[in-house]
Amino acid sequence: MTTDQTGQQFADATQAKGEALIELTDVDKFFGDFQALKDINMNVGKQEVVVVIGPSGSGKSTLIRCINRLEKHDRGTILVDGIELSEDIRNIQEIRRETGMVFQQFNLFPHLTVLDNIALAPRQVRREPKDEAEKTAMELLERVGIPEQARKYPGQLSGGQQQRVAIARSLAMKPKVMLFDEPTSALDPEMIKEVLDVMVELAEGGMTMICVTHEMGFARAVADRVVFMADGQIVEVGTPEHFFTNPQEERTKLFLSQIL
Amino acid sequence: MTTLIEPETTSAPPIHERNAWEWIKHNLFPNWWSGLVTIVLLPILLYMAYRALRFFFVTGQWEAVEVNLALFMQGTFPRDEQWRLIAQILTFALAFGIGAGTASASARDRAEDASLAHERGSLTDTLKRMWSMIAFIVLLLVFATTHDPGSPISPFLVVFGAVLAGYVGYQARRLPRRLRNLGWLLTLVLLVVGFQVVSGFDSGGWLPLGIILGSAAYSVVPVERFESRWLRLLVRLAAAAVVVLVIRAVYGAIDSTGIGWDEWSGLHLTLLVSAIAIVLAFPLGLLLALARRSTLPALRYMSTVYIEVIRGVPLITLLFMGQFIIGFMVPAGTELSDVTRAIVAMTAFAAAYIAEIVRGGLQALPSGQTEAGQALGLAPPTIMRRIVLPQALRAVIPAMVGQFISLFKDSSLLFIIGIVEFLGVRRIIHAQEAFRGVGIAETLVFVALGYWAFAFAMSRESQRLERRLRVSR
Repeated sequence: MTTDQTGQQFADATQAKGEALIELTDVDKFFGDFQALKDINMNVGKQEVVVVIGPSGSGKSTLIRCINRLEKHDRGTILVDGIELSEDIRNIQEIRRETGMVFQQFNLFPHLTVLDNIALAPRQVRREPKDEAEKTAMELLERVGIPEQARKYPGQLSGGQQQRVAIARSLAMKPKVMLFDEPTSALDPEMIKEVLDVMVELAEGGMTMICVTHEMGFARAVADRVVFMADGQIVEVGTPEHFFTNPQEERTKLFLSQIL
Repeated sequence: MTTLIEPETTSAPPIHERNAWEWIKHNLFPNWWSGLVTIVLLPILLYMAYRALRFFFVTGQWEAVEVNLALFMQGTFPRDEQWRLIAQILTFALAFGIGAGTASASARDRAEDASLAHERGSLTDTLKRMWSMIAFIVLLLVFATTHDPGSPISPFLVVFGAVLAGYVGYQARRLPRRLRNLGWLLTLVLLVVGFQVVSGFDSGGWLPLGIILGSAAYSVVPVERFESRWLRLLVRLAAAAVVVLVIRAVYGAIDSTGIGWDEWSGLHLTLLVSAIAIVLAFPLGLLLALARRSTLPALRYMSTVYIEVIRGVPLITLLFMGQFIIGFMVPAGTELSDVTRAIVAMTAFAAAYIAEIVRGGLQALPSGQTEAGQALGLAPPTIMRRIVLPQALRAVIPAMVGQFISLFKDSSLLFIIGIVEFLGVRRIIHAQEAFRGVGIAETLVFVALGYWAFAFAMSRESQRLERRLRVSR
């Protein structure tokens, strides 16, 4: 393979195939004097799975938290399904309803049962009647494999089960894109697989996903593209096979040598 | 009463039975200096206990309490209207019974749903929490029998009636699940009715029941078949308005005046004033806490100034100010009784502290909870109401009950501004010829026991509540 060819391949991989669902253009983000995101340009196409990796503090989480406005970006534009993120709270809420998010610490509501956790948003936001919302919630619980836990409280569940409930909770709003912020990092090793299985199934079902993760196996298996970030910048983008077997940048090689 | 407990998984460790000698050796003489402390302290403590018991059972001149028992309980409440007090006790007992039964049933349901082990509350359980109050009531009965107050109705009968009413009410736990809200509604309605049995059902008294039943009507009227959101809101409001108007009309038709709280005194006044101040201070404090965290600067500054000013001023100052200053702040010609002014001052005072307690609870909540709500697209008020507040308030129950207890005890300050509450009754008693300078310590001990009985029961109840809510945390 010549340098030219790999360069070409690399250039292609930076762009989503087909229609873009999420587009970030020249996005900057500051925490005080510290620049967390520098000049981010990225897009995610429909039904595409993008995995974001990188050392800690590289801005991966900040990046996806900007997409649903849990963090406010300072410069640049973010488009989600054609809607541009602005100060307008209605606009923000509209985008949040289209994007589901799964957190590292699950962030389930501990005072509500599993079923209520899932049914809360459909009932409150979409005004679904109780029985309808609960029926959907049960279906989702079946999909993530734990319908028998419906009436329990999150505190009674294992970490892996909690994270699966969190995924079901996000899915209940029927989002167009799912954001995963290190969904398996807080889990004991034996529980990681059950969560990844659900995520793989989601990806295979055609869900658009952006995952911040350290699970390289997952990235290899389902990612359409891998984005490598360091120091708030996107260093390299590529298909998994290209990325893991033939990284271009020194920074990427260093990182991969440390984790693989 | 019921509690949720975590399923027991481990077996208990073997218990080593200690005999008395081992116990003494282990606890009183574990080493030479502890032994020395025991040798010095034990006689002193025993002597003090002896003196205390002697005071209680031999030397104490309890006539001052016995003769004036009715005065302590109801103060200068008109004696020919006493049936109102008895009706109030019975109604409240029924209300508490229904409330406890409903709470117990919903705890049971939740435990069953979550397949948690569920321990049915036993009588011993209730006794453990309520023993201070029960002991106080027994003490009252003992005093009541040693000196006949000439009351037409035996105090025993009243206590028996109250226990019976409470027991009957407690059977609300057998109500099917869909009627659970009815239990709560009934509790609230009976509390208001119990209050108004004394204060009277005059035409102006429709407001509390109007609010309660109006909001009940607002939420139960079936609106599912209406498509439009506005139409649904309209129907709900119309239903609420109809209920409120009916209640207004009923009160207008009855229009019987009772004995307003300006004429209450003794323990009766203490309990009612504290309860009203607590009920009013809680929502006010909640609003202040939310205002203090608001993004609107004006709201935030106003709330902060209010809280800091009130917290920097002793309650007694506020009570005095209430007597003089509230007059300037209400429209001219408005007559406010001393008790009303005192309630306003106590509410204003407690609200500032409750606001700070609630704020602490809000701050302690991990930010991930709000973020999860935001990520789901919930509106900020919904996040507050459904996610933040339920958790924050649960976390501050102990601090909040502590504040309620101190508000209850602080009501004794009303005595300084000339209102005859529980402690203030002593002034009347010792102004009597027979008790001038007689039994001063005895009446004081009695009053102290009374406050303690209620405060201790409140504290125990809060511990139980805490335990029960821990599971779903």
